[in-house]
Amino acid sequence: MIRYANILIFISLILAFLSCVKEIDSNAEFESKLYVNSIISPDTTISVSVLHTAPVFGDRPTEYFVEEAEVTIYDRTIGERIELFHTSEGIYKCGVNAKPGHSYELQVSAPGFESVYSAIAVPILDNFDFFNFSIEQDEDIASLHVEVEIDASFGTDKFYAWDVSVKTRETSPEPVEEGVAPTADVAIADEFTSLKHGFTPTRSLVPVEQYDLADGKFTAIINNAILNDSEESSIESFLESNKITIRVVAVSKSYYEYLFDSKNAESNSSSITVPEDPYSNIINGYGIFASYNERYKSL
Amino acid sequence: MNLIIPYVRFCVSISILFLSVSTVAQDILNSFYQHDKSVENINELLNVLEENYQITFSYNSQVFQDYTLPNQITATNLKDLFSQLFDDQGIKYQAKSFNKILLYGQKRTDLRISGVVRDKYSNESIPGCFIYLKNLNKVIQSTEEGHFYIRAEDTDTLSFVINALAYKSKEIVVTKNELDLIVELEYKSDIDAIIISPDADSLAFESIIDSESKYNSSDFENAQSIFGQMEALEKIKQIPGVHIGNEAQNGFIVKGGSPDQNLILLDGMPVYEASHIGGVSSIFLTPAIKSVRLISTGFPSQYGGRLSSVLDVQINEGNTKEFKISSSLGVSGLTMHAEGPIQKEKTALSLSGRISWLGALATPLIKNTLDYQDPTLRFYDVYAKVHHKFSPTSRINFTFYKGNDNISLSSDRLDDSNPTMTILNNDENKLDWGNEVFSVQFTNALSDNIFLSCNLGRSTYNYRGSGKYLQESQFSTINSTREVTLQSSSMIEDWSSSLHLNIYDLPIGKLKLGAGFIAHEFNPYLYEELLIDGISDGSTTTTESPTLASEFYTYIEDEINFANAIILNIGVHSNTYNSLGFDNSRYFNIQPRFSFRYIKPDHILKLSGSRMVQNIHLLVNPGPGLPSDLWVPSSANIPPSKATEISFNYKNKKLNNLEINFTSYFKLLDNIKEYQATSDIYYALLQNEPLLFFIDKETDWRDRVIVGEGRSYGIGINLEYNKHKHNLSFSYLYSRVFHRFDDIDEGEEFPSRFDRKNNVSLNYNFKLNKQWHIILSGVFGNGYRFTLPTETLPPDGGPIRWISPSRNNSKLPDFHHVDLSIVYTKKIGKSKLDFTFGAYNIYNRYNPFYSYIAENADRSISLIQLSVFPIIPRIGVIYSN
Repeated sequence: MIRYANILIFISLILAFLSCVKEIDSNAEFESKLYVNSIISPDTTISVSVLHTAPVFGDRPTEYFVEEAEVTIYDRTIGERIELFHTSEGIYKCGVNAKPGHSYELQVSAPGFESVYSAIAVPILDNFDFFNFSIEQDEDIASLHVEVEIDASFGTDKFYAWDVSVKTRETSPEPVEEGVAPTADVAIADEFTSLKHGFTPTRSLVPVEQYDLADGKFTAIINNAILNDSEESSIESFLESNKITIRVVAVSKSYYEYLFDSKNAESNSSSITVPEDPYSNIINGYGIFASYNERYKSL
Repeated sequence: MNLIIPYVRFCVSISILFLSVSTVAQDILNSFYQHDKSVENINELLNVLEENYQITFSYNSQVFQDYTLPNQITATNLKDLFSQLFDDQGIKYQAKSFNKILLYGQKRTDLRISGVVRDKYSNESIPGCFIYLKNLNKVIQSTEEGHFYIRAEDTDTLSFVINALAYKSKEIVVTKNELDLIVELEYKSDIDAIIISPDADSLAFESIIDSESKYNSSDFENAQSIFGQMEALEKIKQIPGVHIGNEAQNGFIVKGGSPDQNLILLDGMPVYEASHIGGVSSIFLTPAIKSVRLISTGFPSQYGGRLSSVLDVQINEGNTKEFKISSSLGVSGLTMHAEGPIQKEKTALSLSGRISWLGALATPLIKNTLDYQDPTLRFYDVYAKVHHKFSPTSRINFTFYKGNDNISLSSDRLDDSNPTMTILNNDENKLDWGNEVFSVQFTNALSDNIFLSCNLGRSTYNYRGSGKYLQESQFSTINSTREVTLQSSSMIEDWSSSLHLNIYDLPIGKLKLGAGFIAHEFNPYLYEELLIDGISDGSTTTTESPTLASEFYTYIEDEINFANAIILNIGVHSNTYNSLGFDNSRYFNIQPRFSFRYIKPDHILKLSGSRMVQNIHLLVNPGPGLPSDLWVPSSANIPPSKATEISFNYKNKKLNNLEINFTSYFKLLDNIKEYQATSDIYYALLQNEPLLFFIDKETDWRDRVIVGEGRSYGIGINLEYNKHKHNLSFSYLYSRVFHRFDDIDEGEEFPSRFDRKNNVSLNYNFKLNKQWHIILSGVFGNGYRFTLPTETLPPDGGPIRWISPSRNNSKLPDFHHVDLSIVYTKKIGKSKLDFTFGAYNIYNRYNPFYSYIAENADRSISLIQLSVFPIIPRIGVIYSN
């Protein structure tokens, strides 16, 4: 256990010993690498962001875009090769959507950088359902527990995340059709942090811990603050005046790892933390090549 | 593994080379010989042989008292000649080296000698003496209690030389059985201790201790702490491969192993923290210490429990003849020592104590530089030992030690930089740690050749820290408070008992065997509470995980002493470990040991191998060395660490006044631990950021321990030059340490934090005259490794992400300093005053203590180094009688 108090004392003591602070040469060797991000799903066209890293010590660039890269996606399932074209600010696009269950390989090469690679498969998510929900009271804090059952078949890896939106009934639109991703429903989509930009995965998703997932079921415990702000005293009256929409996302393992990594990075997000290397599944570079498949459902 | 095979080949080649030296000595016996008939008697013949063959005969003239030369000599080589000359006359011959042949009379009876070696003036026993049996050309070693036993067959005279470090060697000749022999050795005078006079016998056998560096109090005069006090641990740090981690670090590093890999024994009982605040001093009070022995290779079978070294510290038994007192006064504190007889020649008491007034000196600085109120900073040590002799070979000792460090700081800081909000921070911090040891040792000679020693004792280590941080903020008319309370403690309690037997003169050699039992109790405790406006936020954490563990060990070691001074030690140490707290895990480990020593008067060669196992571990936070508090036992998920080492040493004393010691080792490590702590708060503390950030709810340390493997190797040389008033020692060690963990750097090997390629140590003592004495010492070492981010990802609105290309990819600046002490000695009657003047770090080098990354005003990033000790004056006085 870290002894913060003790270390404070000791540092203070050391300073008392006429300590000296001076800048030293880091002698750090630096070689810029490609930073590539692409999040693909059946609901969006494939796009890739290509940037590069910068040195910690020394001058940093004003922009990080790599505009002369060759970006290729290879659909391993059907043997199709897809070239992506630069649009603006390091963004490369094509007009193809990813297909559930297909495996994809990403290759990016650019002058002055080592070529990078990665591969993933797009998860299948057929549907999900609520089968129980309740309000749990712990001292002054209430939380909504929603038990979710997922109907999916995607190999042996089962990585899920979820998200929630709570709106009062007066302002919320009608419930969306169950089991269909509301890509056309801007209002519903706006209730969540969008996954649709296709580059950096959203950090608002809550990854489902593997030990919480049994037989495709898990319990989503919904933000205490939402319930505490409500004046409703029972689940029935709360649901009468509020519409709760849950998003369940089947994610690739890389996405899942990224969510945990982001969670850790944000909890240690002050300048005082030991830098931990970010999660990456890009060989010879950094970033993530991830995939997801999402569904919405309202209570 | 790629290096171990060439390394073994190398060691074997060197061994063969030096073994071949003895065969050359045999070859001379095959030299051609043609008898000169003009030679009339044996003395004339031996002179002719010495001249013609450049050989020397060594013999007692009585051997040839009634000798008559054979009438006819037909030999054509020396071997045949000797056969014709001596076989029928009851005379034996033996080639001792290239050019030396020993002649001696036929043995007639058996001689048995059993006894004890002790100090002439204090009656204290002298442990681990080396006894050279001249007739037999063998070396034996006394027990740790000074007992020895010798049996010589077919002889009526036995001559042997007793050697002990810092004592004048003594030759004894016995002609009848002596079963209660008391050998009293005379302590070398101060001058002798500094200007070591070459003594052929003494040097030859002191060199046996090459890998068991052993010192007594006279050696510590040349080793001084930062503030100029004589310091046992500083002497140890002059040994190649032994050094402190960084400046102001507690503990010491041996050959790249972490500090917890050193077993520190105080009269046979383990102590867990051997340093006082910031490493300014060790807990070992020089006047209280009888001897310090560091074993870092070729571990004897009796030792176990740590991977890197054993530091065996023996406390003064006390003078049973007369009262002695000494006192020293220095910048850091006051030391007192007194010893004398309770019952003359039978019972003695030794008392020592130290109190530091470092706090009084530091308080104004702390107040001025850090704005703390009423800071406390103090430490003390108390030693007591009662010693009673039942007979020359039977005695009992009672040992007590207690030491403690205490620091407390509190402050009030008002932050009104924001016009709309004022914040008042109140901090109260306390920290203390210390060891307490109590033990009883009983030794007895069960028979002439069987010596028994028993130990029973209790050792405790306590570490307690507490902090209370109150933040009161006022925004407009709204007042709020946040109060954080952190309390942590870690207590270890060990009960230890052991029994050891030394059996001399068995057909298989000298046998050491024994068994011991240690019961450990670990009591880590943590309490965290956050109160917001006086109400708990519900996250109060109390963690207690007392763990019981036990270790039962047995060992056996055979010391076989061949002619031509070849000593072979073969042994095994077994350890059964049980953890009874968190989980019921059990480990059994067999640890084989061997050492082969080939000893000649001018040189010694040693090849040794050992396997060591460590069952308890210190979890060390990254960063500078606090007295790290969390000692944890092995458990089901944390298996014992293991080390397998092979080492080779060669020492040569042939050159005039110059001793050369070559050393090399290769070590494989298994199940080594890495503690993964995520937050680094030093940066914040130095930037004066608030502490409320740092509550960490992750309390289970087991989740943060990862297990891996490693290897280390090194090659070094040590030179000692002693002539007249000059004593110079220089050592250099090239060493590397690599670790590998599946979870770090994708399983790639990386240099350990303690990897330090180049290690240099220099020590020069110059005795100007009886009054003035100059000590100049210096060390150099490459900086320690740490993980430095070199690359950053493009900003994406989230936290800045830095990337380190690999673990421990960077090095701190090199560590070096030179220290000077001038000692003036004034004798007043029988008393003596030593005045010390000088300075630590005379060229004011800013050595690295710690480094951190800082963001500048222009948002550029810099690497900042914090140094602790600039040039520090040394002033002190020591009184002794």
